[in-house]
Amino acid sequence: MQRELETKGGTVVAVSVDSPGESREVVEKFSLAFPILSDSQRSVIRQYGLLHEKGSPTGEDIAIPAAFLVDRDGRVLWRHVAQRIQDRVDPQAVLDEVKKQFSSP
Amino acid sequence: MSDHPSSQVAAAAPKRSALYILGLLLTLAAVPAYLLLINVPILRSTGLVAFILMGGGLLVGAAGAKRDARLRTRIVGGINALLVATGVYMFIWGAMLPASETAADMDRLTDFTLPDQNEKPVQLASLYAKGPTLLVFYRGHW
Repeated sequence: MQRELETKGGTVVAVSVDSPGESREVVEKFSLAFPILSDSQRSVIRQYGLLHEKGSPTGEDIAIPAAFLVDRDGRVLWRHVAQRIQDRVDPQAVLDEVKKQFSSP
Repeated sequence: MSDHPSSQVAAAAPKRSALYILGLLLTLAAVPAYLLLINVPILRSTGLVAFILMGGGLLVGAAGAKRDARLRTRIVGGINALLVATGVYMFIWGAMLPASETAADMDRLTDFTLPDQNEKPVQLASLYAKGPTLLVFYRGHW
């Protein structure tokens, strides 16, 4: 998915409450090629209405899982917002959407 | 397990069956089975394997209770049912996340700047200005 977006100049960018150090471990563990941003103050998560108070197994405030596909103006073309903990983004759905929205003329 | 028919006493020896243990084991197997297959999307989302095991556990436990009237089978049967009820509750209601109207209605992403994994500040708008971008919020390393 990352590569598909890169061919069009875009990227994946992830946000969580993890500290930069914790995120670096995730990047290394999964050999990720995109940035993971740290919202340790939960300020952006709050702005997006994605705060899950005491949502972690240890009672920390974390994010409701969500994904937004946007164009170069930041307009939302596709979104997924989890309603249950089991819900995860289907990478194929995102790929299909990217191809649909950005197929070369 | 086989019955032990008494040949000498008119009242039969208590019938025994280990099915009640098997029923409980099946129910308990539902959790590791779910976790093992958690990367299969349809199984993760529906919990199908876990529900089949729990249902099987209840049926086998009930069959065991019919054949074996000892107190212990009733107690274990009760525990079995309680575990299944808890499992079903947790999977359906315990897993629910708060609703988010803001995220559902957002037409344009609110811009922000946050530090990346190397503590370098990154502005969202600078990323999507270069091309279609997927912004993902995830729960973290929990």
